[in-house]
Amino acid sequence: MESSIPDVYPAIEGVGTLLIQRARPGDLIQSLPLLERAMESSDRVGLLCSPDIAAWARELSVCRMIMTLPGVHPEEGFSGAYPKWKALVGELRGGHWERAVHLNNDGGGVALLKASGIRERYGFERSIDRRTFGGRVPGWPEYLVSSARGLRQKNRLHLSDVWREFLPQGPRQTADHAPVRGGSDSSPVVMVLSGRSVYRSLAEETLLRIIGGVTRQTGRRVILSGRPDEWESGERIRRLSGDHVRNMAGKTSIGELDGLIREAALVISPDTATLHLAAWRGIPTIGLFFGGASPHETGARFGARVSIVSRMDCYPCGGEGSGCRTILCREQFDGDLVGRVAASLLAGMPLPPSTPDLLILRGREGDGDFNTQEISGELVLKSGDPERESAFSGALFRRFFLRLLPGKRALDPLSRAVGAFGTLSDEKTVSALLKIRRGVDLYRAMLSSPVGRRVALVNEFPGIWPIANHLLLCGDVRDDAGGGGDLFERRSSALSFLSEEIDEVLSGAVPERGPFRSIREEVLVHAG
Amino acid sequence: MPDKECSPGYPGQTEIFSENMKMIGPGALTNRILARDSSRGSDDPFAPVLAWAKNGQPVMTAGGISLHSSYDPEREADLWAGEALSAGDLPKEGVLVLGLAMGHHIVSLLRKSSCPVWVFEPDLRRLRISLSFMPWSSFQGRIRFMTELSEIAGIPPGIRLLVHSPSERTCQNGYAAARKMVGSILEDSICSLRILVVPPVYGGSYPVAQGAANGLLAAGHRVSFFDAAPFEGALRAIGAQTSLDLHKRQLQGIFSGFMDEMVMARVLSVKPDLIVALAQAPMSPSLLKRLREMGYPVAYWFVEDFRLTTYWETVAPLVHDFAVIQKDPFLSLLSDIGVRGRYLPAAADPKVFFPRELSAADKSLYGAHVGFMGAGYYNRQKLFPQIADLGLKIFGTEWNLSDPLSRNMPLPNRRMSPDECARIFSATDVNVNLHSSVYHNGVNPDGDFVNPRTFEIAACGAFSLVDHRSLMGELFVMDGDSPEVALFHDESSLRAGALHYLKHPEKRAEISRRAMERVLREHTYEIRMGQWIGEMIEEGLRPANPGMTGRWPVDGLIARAAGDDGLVSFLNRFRHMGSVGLDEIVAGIAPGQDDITSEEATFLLMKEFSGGPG
Repeated sequence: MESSIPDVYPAIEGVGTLLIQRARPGDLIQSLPLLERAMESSDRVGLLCSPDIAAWARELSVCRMIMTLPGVHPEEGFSGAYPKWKALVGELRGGHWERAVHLNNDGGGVALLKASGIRERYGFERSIDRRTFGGRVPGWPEYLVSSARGLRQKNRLHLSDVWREFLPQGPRQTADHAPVRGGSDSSPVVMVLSGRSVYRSLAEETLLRIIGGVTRQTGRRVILSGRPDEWESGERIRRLSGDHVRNMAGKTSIGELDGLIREAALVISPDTATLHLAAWRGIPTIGLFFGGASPHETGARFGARVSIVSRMDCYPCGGEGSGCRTILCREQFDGDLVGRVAASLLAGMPLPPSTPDLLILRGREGDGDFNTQEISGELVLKSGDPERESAFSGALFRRFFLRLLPGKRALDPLSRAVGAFGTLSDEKTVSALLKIRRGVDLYRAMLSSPVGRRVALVNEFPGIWPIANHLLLCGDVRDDAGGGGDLFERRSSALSFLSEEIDEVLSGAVPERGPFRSIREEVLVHAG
Repeated sequence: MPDKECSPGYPGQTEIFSENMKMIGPGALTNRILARDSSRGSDDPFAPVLAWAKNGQPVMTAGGISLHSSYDPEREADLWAGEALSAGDLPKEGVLVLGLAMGHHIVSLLRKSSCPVWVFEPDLRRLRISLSFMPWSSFQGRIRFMTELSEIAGIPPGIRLLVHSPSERTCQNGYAAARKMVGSILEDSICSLRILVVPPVYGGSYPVAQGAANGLLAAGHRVSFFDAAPFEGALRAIGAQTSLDLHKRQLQGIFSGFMDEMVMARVLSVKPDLIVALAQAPMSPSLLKRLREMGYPVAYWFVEDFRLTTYWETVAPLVHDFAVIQKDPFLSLLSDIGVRGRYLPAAADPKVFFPRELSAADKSLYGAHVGFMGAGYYNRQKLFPQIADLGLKIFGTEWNLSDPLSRNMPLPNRRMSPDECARIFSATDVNVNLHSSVYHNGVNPDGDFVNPRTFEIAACGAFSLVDHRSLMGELFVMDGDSPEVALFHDESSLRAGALHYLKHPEKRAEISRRAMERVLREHTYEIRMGQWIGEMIEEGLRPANPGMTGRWPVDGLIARAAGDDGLVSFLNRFRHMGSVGLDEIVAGIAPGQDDITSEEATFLLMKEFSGGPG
């Protein structure tokens, strides 16, 4: 894909909101819900981004005002660098921005906020690793974006949603984002070859299987999309797959890619910017998740969307940081299964059920306008496996984190959140949940206790670390972000609800243990 | 004649090429352009290809990537040139552009400005294509093309550097060297490198590493010290777990891998311009290869005897620079394996080793007529009994405590800190400095290198009797009227020398004074490191971000800022410092303060986004 060169800085009028996004194209697209929310309450919205994603921002016309960080090269030294950065400072300070939202947890963006002089700041306004500008970790929701990968698996909150919540909801509500589009009967399926690294790239054999399955089950043409250096790989796949496959890897500009996607019936992709773009355009998507990528946090956010997810024991891993040399998860996608999912999605039919190796998740709006994943069919969990415990605790913790948000929102019924996990009957999971329940109650009783005591509690009840970690790092802050209420009260209430919901899950699980009351008594004795 | 890459039939193509070649005129560049370029094979993924934009203008692709807009390259070029001009007036000295492609961006720049423009494009094929289609001759006198790195050295200082990003993306290796060369020309910055020093986990080289780090700091560089000492216990514990050599080696291998990752983590955090590693540094060949591939130069100081420790054969070829404390035959052996070794003798750290005023307790504990501080090597254990009756005191580790010599050890086998060593040297009338040997019974008659102790004792203003070494004469005056060292050659001359100098304290004082002056004048770590780094810079070593990691003469900055009152006022704060680096400028910006000036904001952003390799 070609990229255009940066524009000169456009003239700026009026007051408005400036978004600072300096990561990758996929992050830019996942920031669009935040952009929409900013437009609800601002007359003018601007985007300050890195040169790498400026081309995407312009060609996709994400907003009218796009500013690019200077393309300064180190060898330009003082003479070259100073005028460029000075020009940017001038534009920022002269731009009459009322507020700024910084989306990347790093010192560079914090420095931009400081240099801009913009008073009202959201997002990562402090950086915990910079002694000069350090400060406490900001509260929800900024912390959740930067937190350890393990925690992000537990809160299961989509990146787009978290970023969107950086800004309070405006007075004007936008309609549901994009209409679902299915294309015509002759529209092709677009298959994206890979993402930013080998941990987001499928093996060629896997791609061949998937393409074979999709063409068999849907009868549609497949168009391959990817980077210029993937052209040859695409050619190999095309030659082996036959006439119904066309290779356009590296042959489209960003605008042409956008056009290609809009005409597609379906886009199948690992976690890539193209997947997110397709979702944003309302094109049905199938996301393939393996390595370190999780559909809960970076799956397709809009439209008819399905994620097919690895169920290997080591998933999700650290991705690029895992050091895994085999990356077997790239090879386990069943082409026939992907084909059946594609056919069902296109026909509007029920999806096939998950298999022992692959989880099929359908995304939907739920929990008060947050992305929610539902398991297709009844999930057969591996008995006694950590996956069972993780499934239940994941659903419960997510609801805890949603309750921490300011403002009221209606969560889905608990039965819908955990229904697909089947009846809870194995001793190990029951025991784990009981222990979490105990830990939650004790932590709630100790919310005002010194940090050391709470840390000691977490050491004794490690199952509660996702929520305790968050609460400890966010500190004892008052909630000034709007939405009303003392954050302390909200935390206490969220912990209380979590405790009750664990009870509800357990009461449905082990009636033969006796009355529900006996479990509560056991917990109260230990909490005393 | 136009190259094969050009499409025939473009109106006036041949005439354009001819006019452009006339403008270039006869010379080396013309010869290169007209010669057939056979150096790049058909497997070059970024071979340039002529293409046509939708508006009919000629453009160029490389590796399937368009180097210009495929819709309206002129408009894109105007935007590029506009951004260059928006950053301020172009200097009258001109502009150097890295990357030609077809040249639309340069034509636009020429039309919008009046200064000279140099263009560096190492790919002659691209130049030939451009010369066939672009009207360079209409800018005669203002445009000059360069295809060789050496030509960049001839451009005047004060020019501004611009880079054509699409060209760079498709010809990276071709521009990296040019960038570095340009960086050193553009700024008259005082070169201050960001250096990571990696010592061994423990051993004799550890204090040398500390001295080197101090020396680099004193020489004005920014130094990080990877302190591996906390891992000494773990490494030593390996030997205690098992007596099986195979197991020990396995465990040591795992430990080595772990230390490699520790070092790499530090490198990625610090992003140094240079890594200075000392002998036995925990850096495996695998790590050295990775660092080389990532562009981090490693300068290795091998402060050991090449005959006894032979891992230099593996390490030396993998590093950017290999410094040694011996000369031939070692330097010849290195040359045989393709390494140009650099002789760099040991030194002393005057911040640690300096004359001490000692308390009565120190004198009692450390003082002696004749003393030795060091490890119990074979030759020392053999020789020292011959002088034990002279009031000998021995300090250090690895001595045989069942030997009668142990009676001469006030603190048997206790590791002494550098400070304690300095006290010992200062408190002792005659310090015996016998270079170690694992098989000689006394003096090694073929000994060449001079150990750090020689310089350390001298730096303390103390007197020593040193065994003769072949390289001693280059470092100290050995004889004549004003010797700087007192030497011995064998057991009898050691004993005679000790007795002689014990009776003549005034001679001891004279020699000690001259030795100390010589060390402070020529043999400190600051001098050694300055020499070493200076030589490497002369040979082409450059900081990754020369314009940002250097120090700028403040007067020069103020002169350049003329007309920008705010900037001049800001820079005046630093006038008293003479020179200033970006770190110091930003350090002065109050962290909690929200209202910072636009000048402060600008420097803050320059610091945050100055980046580094990796």
